[in-house]
Parts: sequence; C-alpha cells; structure tokens
Amino acid sequence: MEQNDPITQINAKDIRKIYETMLKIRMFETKEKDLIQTEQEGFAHSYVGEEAIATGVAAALRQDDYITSTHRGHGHMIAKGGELGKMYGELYGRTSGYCRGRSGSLHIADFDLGVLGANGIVGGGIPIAVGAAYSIQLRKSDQVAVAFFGEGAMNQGLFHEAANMAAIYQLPVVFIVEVNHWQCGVRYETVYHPSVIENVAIRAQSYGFPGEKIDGNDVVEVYQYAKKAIENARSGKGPYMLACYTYRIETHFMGDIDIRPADEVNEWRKNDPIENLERRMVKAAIMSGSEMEEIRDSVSTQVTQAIDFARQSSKPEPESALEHVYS
Amino acid sequence: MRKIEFRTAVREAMEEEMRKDPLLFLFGYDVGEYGGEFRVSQGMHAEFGDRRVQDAPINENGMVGLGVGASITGTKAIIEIAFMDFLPMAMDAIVNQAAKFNYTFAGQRSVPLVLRTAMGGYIRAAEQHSQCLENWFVHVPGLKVVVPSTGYDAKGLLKSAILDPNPVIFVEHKFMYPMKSEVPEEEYTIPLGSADVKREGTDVTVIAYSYMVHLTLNVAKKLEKEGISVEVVDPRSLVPLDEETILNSVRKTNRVVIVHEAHERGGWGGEMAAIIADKAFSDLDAPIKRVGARNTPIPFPAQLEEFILPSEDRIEAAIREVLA
Amino acid sequence: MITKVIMPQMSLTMQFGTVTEWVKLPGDYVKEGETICTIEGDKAILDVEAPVSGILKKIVAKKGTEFPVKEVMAYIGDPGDVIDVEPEPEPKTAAAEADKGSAPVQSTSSSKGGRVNASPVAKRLAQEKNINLSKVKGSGPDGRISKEDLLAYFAEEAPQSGDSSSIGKQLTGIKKTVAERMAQSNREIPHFHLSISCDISEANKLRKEFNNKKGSGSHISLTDVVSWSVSRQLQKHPVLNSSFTDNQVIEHRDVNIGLAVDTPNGLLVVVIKDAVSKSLEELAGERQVLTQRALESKQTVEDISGATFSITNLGMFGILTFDPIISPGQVAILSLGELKNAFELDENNAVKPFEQISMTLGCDHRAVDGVAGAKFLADLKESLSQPSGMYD
Repeated sequence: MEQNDPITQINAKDIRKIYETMLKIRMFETKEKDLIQTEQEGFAHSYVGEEAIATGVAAALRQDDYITSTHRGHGHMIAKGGELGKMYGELYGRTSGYCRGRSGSLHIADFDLGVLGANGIVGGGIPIAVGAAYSIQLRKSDQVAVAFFGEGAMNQGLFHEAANMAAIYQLPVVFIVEVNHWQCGVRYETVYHPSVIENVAIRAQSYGFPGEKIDGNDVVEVYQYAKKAIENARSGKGPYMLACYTYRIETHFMGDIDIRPADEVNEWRKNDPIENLERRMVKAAIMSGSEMEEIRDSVSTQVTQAIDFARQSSKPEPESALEHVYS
Repeated sequence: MRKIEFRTAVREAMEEEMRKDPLLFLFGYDVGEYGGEFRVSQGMHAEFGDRRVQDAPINENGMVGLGVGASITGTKAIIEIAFMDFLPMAMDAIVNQAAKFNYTFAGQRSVPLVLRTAMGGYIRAAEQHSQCLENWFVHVPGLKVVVPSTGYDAKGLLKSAILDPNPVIFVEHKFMYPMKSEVPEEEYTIPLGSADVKREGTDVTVIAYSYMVHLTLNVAKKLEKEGISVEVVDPRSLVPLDEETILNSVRKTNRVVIVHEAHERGGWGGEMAAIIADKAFSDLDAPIKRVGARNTPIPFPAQLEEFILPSEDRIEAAIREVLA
Repeated sequence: MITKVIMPQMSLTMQFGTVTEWVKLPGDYVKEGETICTIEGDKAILDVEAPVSGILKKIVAKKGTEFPVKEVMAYIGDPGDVIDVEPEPEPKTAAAEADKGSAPVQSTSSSKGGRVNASPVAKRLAQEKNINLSKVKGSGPDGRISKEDLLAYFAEEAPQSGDSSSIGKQLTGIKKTVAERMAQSNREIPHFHLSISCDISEANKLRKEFNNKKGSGSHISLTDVVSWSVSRQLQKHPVLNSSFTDNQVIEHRDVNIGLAVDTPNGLLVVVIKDAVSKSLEELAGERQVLTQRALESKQTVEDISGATFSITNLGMFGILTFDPIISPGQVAILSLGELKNAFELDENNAVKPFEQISMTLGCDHRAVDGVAGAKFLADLKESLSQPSGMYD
C-alpha cells in the first residue's frame, strides 16, 4: 500500500475503535464456542471471519440509528455498542442478560442502542428495518435503519416485499447482504442463478435502488462504502444495498458438523479480516505491534471479566416465564 | 340517536384517533384513494394524505413486518388486510414477530400494532374468500383478538385496540359492514375483555360473536313466543376473555350453546366449552353444544353455502336439544 | 409398609366420630406425631396424630360424615405402597333407616349400570339437600335427572318446608349427643319444677366490692356466687347431689357442679370438681378456665364429665324464669333468671328496694320429692340473702 491507502483517511481514534471492536467480536465468539459446548444451554451461531462487516457498517452509524440483525447476531450487537457482560448473561440464561435470560442468543436486543433484535426467522428482520425506516420518514427524522442479513435470506419472499416497499417509498434504509457463501449446509452458488452469483447486489437494480459488491473482509472498504450508503439514505435519497463478500469460517452453529472441504476453509483463513487490518496498520505506520498487543490484552481481559460476571449472575425464577406476555 | 353503518363506525374510530395522534397511520392495499376494499377508509386519504393513509403493494407478510418495525420505533400502525383469508401469507410477521417481541425482549418494547381484517361468508365469495380463522390467533400468546358484532361495539373496541400497547387482531365481518346500529356522536371506548349480554334470559345461555349474534337474536325472538327464554352473551373479545360474565350466565341458566361461524372442529367453541366444563361443571344441567360451520371448505352458491354455514335452524335445534 | 389409622373411641359411649377437618391430604408426607385430622366425638374434639411417619396414602372417613369408632379411617404408607380398596364399613346403628336425612347412596335403579344419570347441577343440589338420587325420577334424555326434576321431588317429599330453599343439616358430634340425651331425660325422668325469688342485694354488693378491690384477676360472677352457695347447701341436702339408677338413689360424696356453656359446637356442661373444697375465688377462676377451653373447642373429657348437680343461667338474655331439663345421671338442676330491681314493703309499709333473682329447681321425682326440693331451695335463698363466709 502507498501513501494514498484509504486507511490513512480515517482518524486514529476511529481506527483504534474499529480494531478493538473486531477483536472484541473475535474473542467473544471464540470463547463462546467453548462455553456453548460445555457450560451453556441452547445454540449459538458464530460470526468469526465476518467481523469487518458489522464493524465497518456500525462505525458509520449513530447510536440512534436502527439495525435489525439475524440469528448470527453477536457481531452486530457488539459493533453497535452491546455490553459483553449482558450478552454473555443472556447466553448463560441469567437475569443480567439483555432479555433477562429468557431468550438466549437468537433474540438479543437493546432498543436504547437501536438494536431492534436478532431474529430467529431467516429474513424476519428485513421488513422490520423497513418499518423502522417508514417511522423515521413519518417523524421527519434524519435517522437511518440498517438491515443485516445473509445471501440466504435474500431468496425469501420477505426480502422482495421489503426491498420493493423501501424503494417505492424512498425509505432511509440500507440493506447489508453478508454473502458468506454457505447457508447452513448448502452452498449459495446452488441457490442463485449463475448470472447473479458473482454479484448478488444486481438484484437491487430490479427494485430501483443502487447496489454494490464490496470486499467484506476489508473493514476499510466496508466502512467507506457504508458511509456512502448511509449518507445517501440520511439525505433522503432512499435505499442502498451493499453485498459484502466474505466467508463463514466456523460451522453454521457452534458444534455443528462441517461438510466443507478443508482447503476451502483454510484458503479463507488466510484472508482473515483482522490480520488484514493489522498488516495495513503496520504498513501505514498507524499503530505499532506493541500498541496492538496492548489492545489485545485489554479486550481479552474485558471478555474474561464479562464471562465471570455472567457466571455469577442469578438465574431467573421459573415463575418469571409468566411475565411480559402482554405489556 | 343517529344510526350509522358498521363500516362508518370503524372509520370514525380510526379518524378520531389519527386526529389525536399525528404518528398513527393506516397501511394496506386499496386503503388510499380507492377507499378500501369494503369502503371502510373512504375519505380518509383526502384528510390525511400519503404515508398516513398509505396504499401498499400486495405483500401481506412485508406489510405486517413493516407495521411491526414502525410500531416499535414510535409510529403506531393500523394494517388493513381486508380478507382474513390472506392472513396466512403474513403468519411469520404476526406469529413470530409481532406476538413475540414484548415477551422475548422481556418487556423492553411492545408492539402496539392493530391488524384489521374481515372474516366470514354469506356473500358467495367461495372457498378462499370466506374463512373465519380467528381461533388460530387465540392460540398464540402475545396477541389479542377482538370480534365485534355491532358498529357500536366496533367503534369503542377499535379505539381501545389502537390505544393498547399490544398487537391486536381486530376481526370485522364482511356481511356486517352495511348493518346499521345506534352510535353516539361523542367519543367513547369499550375496554377489551368485557363481554356484553345482548339479550337477557333464564332458560339457556347462548354464547355467540360477530355475525352469529344477529342470527342468534333472531332465534331468541322466535323462541320467546313459545315461552323459551334465551340469554345471548357476546364475548366481544376472545383474548382477553371476560370469563366472569359468561360463567355467571351459565350459573343462572345451567344450559349452554356456543355459536360461531368458524368450523366446529378446532373452533373457539371447544376452548369455551372446556372452560365452562372446568369452572362451572356443577352448574350444568345438560351437555354443552356447539354450532359452527360444518367441517368443509366454504362453497360458493347460496344453497351450498347456507348448508355449510350456521343457520338459524341449526341454532334453534341446538337450543332445543339442551333444553330437552 | 402400610399402617392403619383407626377412628379412636374417646369415651365408652362413643359409637361414631366425625372428621371435622383433614389437615393432611392424600399424597402429603406426615411425620410421626403430626396432626393429620381433627375429629369430633360425642363429647369432645380431638386432634388425631400420625402413628408413624410416611405418606398419607388414602382417606376412608369423609369429612363431615359419621364414621364408626375402631374402624380404619386412613392409611399411611411408603411411596411405593398400593392400598387395596377395602369396602367401607357399614354404619352400625339404625342410622341407615333414616332415609330422608341420609346422604345420597349409589343407585341401582338407573340404566347406566350402577351410576345415577343426573346432570352435574342436579347431583350438587341432591348433595346439598340430602336427597337420595335413586328416588328421583328423571325426565331428561335417557332418563337423566335434571335440576327441575330434583326440585320437583324435593317440593313433594319435604312438605314441612314450604319452599325449596330449606337446607337439611345432619346432626353430628356434640349436638347429636345433646339431642339424644335431652330426649332420653325427657322420656325417663319425671320432672317437677319449683321456683323461688331471692333477695341477692347483699351478696351482689359484696361481690362488686370484692371485684373492685381485687382489680383484674378472678372476676366473680353471680353464677359463681350461686355455685358457691349451692355447693355448701348440697352438703346439707345430699339427696339432691345423687344419681338414680335401677331403683337406687346413690348419694355422691363430692359435689361436682356442672355449668352450662353455649359453645360454637353446641351446649357443653363444664364441671368444677369438689366445689365444696374451693373458695369463691377459686370457683370463679376455674369457671373461667373451663369456659374458655370449651369456647375454643379445646375441652378435655375430664372437663365435661362427672357432674353431680348442674346450674344453668339465661338471665343475660332477659329470661326471668325457665324450667330446665335434668342431665341424665343427675337428679336435679338449678336455673337462674335475670337480676332485676324490685321493691317490697317492710314492716312499716315503707317501700324498700332490693335486687331480686329468680331460681327454678328441676327435680327427679323418683329421688327427690316436693318437700325435699322446697327445703333445699328455701335454705339456698336464705344463704344467698344473708351471705356469710363467702369472701373469707
């Protein structure tokens, strides 16, 4: 990279925060892979390998902007400012969790942070983000809504309905498609027409708004394009789609079987988004090795403390399951 | 007092609330200039304009999902899906999203959405346009289900539904839209979960809702001439349910018939009968009878449809049977 | 291992007990010595304790209905034990003959092979009104008995209650005993009654002074004053402190004064033993303790047996005089009426006020004749109008 590496346009504080966030997600998910198979109940879906997308997009958002997330939602939540302790609390099923321990990984939400929920239904969050954008427009606010979803959800009728409505009403919503190549045990190439595979974002044009393909493992690129798409929405120019090409390093859920060829996975490991960023930061002399080490240690400590906090939290009483059916 | 059509009463409820809350909006296909598939929203687009009375594409699941997203971010949505038969297209948004939010997120945010739809037959609209599916939604915790039988009830209940912070399925009836009833000019609300004794009697309690209330009242008038005194209780909302009023009636008359237009098998009558058999067992003088549509899809021509759907004859026969 | 819990026989005359409450229910774990139910006998109420620890497996004696003594009323066992159903014991008296007042029995006359075909509301009303369903004709489908059928039967068969809103209540326990004993007394004892009015001014004045002086503590009542005097007089008139059996008059050495107490469970007579040896204060104290126990249904068998002479007071209700019924086993009973202000003329024809109380002595003419009774009463009056030695 030369002097005009776009990374140099980002100020140092923001870069530091981006790096720290990606590490937080990586370490959170790595630890979680152990915990879910030993101490915790239920299921969790790993975001390892995709950190650049959540981080890059969130870096371009305000706290009062909304996001909807998926079953693979830990990364989005952390990137939007979620507290590690409350997240582990929810995964452990404790009252200190975001949903008081009753819902687990698939349903983490914090409305104060603008996170309108992870969602266990593939595509379920997409029209909700569009609805949030409808509300923004009705209230004449300058907020933006972002829908995160995978390329698998893009085949849901729900996506089609939501994208069309976003376009016809010119809503301030950005669609982030995380093309991570695998839908549980199915390659995405088998459920998309060859003319679409290379860039699923061309579907955006059929609704009437722009869509671009970007490198989902390059956090700087994600950040730059996200800024563009979000500003576009914020200024009233309507929806935007970014198809972020990446790879799901881990299995569909933590502890699942892996039918993928080992060399395919290993090839993508070499394109690790965090290592990519580290190399660039060193090359552009933005951060030294020891500074990075310091951040790593700090994040590692935060993760450990969060796990301890969660482990010591109380469990909800069985009768608490009767609460909140109705408001 | 003035008499207005059922559809007018529904419209007035929406208009009154939308004038008070500038962020309340109505969303559905054909609700705009067209005035709604059953003419409920006639004139509203002229008053409130786009986005507040907004035509939608034909995409039920997306519409309800949009309603959920809007309702949880500060703008309450009234979604109109005119035919209840189309609600299966929106089941994910209703059952997995709207019904679950408040519970799943432990009370962080509720979904104050109203989904207005119309059930029922008697209009020769055939198998895919005549169904009564309200009991599907009674079965999902987190939803409320309202089934008004008159314009007066509809207006008061709809206002309460709009003000309720929970998702409400508000089920009107296609055949009842032109039916007139007395509705006061002044604003009023009727709380959800309050049943109404539409006719007092001593010999038998007939629990009926929506259009069936009218058929039942006809039968009651006829039987009065024979000295049979029929009490007609209209639950008005199925969730929440006013059990006390219903059970008090059962304790008074000791005999029960439940009438609904939905199919007998798996219909709401079974739910109500189980509650009565549990909580008022020692007050029953006869088995509980249900009258509903026979267990077939609803055919189109008059003589077939009337054979399948509940009729006054069948309601009368059930009443006589429990009085035997 | 299965342990039987037996309905205890609390007195020689007790034939039936009634469970007033099951404190533990089938499935509950009970500890040895823990109360599992309370029962009411013919004289007293008792907490039945678990003889062993274990699970209360089965209850045989139903709450509120009579159950024969010495029969198995419940089973305690280990969690895995299965109780084979034993047939319920037959009632041992002629209670089975009283069909109007008996609980509904299994019908053998309906079409459903042993079960009565009646609607749920008809069954409930039958139980409330103590109607035998097998006697009711059903006019519903398959001969089902409806509420209307039941009410029609009730109106026909219960003419003394003009409307169908009366509710029959079977007597059990203490009330049943009282009913039987009063009937027996009425049948067997030739009663006569003597009334006298008495100037009790001096005794009452002394009583009030004593109570004021003592402050709180043993509060002496008029009944206590009378008890004291009666007990001393009975020493001089022993025939009134006796029993009549088999043509014999048996005079008792001790004077045990029975005092009638109105309790929530019925009329009980608490007994102050050896009243002669007790001072007025002691009599009052013991009366209070015994009465309190009876009111709380905690009376022991000892508390309510052994009376040789009884006193009963209805003066607090404004009753002037009444003729009391003698308790079987005694030959006399004294009733007290209301204390009233009265006037009499003295030797100078001047009006003299005094406090008057009327007393009526019921006597068993087989043991006590008119003169004996009259002499006793006259001496009693004398001792009450000029009390001496009461407050020593």
